[in-house]
Amino acid sequence: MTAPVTGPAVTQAPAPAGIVSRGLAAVIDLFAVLLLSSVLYLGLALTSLILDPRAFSWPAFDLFFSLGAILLMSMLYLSFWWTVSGRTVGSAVMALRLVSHRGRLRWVQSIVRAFLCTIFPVGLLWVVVDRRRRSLQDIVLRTSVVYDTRH
Amino acid sequence: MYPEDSPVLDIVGGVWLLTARLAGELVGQAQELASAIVAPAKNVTWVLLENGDRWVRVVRSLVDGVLRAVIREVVASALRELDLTAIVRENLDIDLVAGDLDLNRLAATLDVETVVASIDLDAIVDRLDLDAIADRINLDRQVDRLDITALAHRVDLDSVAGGLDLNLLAGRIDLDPLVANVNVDAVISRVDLLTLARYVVDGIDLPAIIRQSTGTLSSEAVQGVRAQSRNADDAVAGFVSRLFRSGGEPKPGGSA
Repeated sequence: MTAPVTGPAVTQAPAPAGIVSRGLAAVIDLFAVLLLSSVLYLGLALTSLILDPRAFSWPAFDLFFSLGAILLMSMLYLSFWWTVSGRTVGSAVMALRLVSHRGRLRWVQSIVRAFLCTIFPVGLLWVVVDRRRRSLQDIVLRTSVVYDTRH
Repeated sequence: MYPEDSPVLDIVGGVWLLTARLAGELVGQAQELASAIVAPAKNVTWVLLENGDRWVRVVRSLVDGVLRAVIREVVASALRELDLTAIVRENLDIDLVAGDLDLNRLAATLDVETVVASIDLDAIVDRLDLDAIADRINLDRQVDRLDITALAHRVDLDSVAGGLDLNLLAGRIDLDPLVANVNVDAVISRVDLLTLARYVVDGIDLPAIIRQSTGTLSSEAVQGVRAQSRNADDAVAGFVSRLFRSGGEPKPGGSA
């Protein structure tokens, strides 16, 4: 790596976020997904109550189904926000932004990254050891999470 | 003094004799004339005496008629010439006349019952314009003369209130028809809710509250968390680089 390669234009690029900021953002997103799942659960329960009040009972809690529902909700949540603005709720609170090497992510890229992050969240820990603070998902999809300088 | 056979005496005697004869002649003529006149007068008198009553009546009626006509004309002309009202006003002492009147005696002679009975009260009332009379009454002045406060002090409100059975009254009031008559929609339509809401919202400085709350949140809490997180990121990266002795801290945002 020579000096001419790391020119002024490169140094003005947003700095990649570290493990603490991204971890906190991920926790906030997890709570957001859990909140959304709870709302969905209550909405389904109320719908069944309205449709047939006498036969109403709270939906049975099934571990497999519930976990699957939360994972699905997470994927939808992350892919939606990454495509729309590159920022989830946790990223907005922590002033982070997910960017691709071409700018904002496309739908397919967002869905794939959301799937990978959901089924293998531990990949985030690679941020600690990577020199450019990339997670495994970032490496695969050539994305990066940066400090949002607009905040 | 004169001689007996003087010519003077003869003349005087002759004159006297002549005078006496002339006088006698005259008397005789007068008697004849008088008898000539009296005779028919006697006749006329007799005629008058015989038809006296009739003639008296004729003459009286004649005189009466003439007198009446004369008097009428005289009075009429007198009235034309005289101003009786002015004369009475100037010359009559009304007070004196009134002082002489015994009104009590006059009143005693009045039959009041008959007078009252002859009065047609209905006709009088029909002719009265009570509205006009009422218009002429200055009520404001009468009200001003009333001492309402004194009047109110004289009313014993406690005893009046004590006599009221409010529960009974309340029980007799049927509120349903009253409420049914109230056009709630019209009342609501008359209330400018939009203006009211704007007035209330204007009173609450909502943007200031939002600015204050969110500003406090973002500036104090979130930005603090962000800054500390960023410092923690750098600290972790520095620790890791020293741990692996990679020879340098990875440059955030470094070249790819």
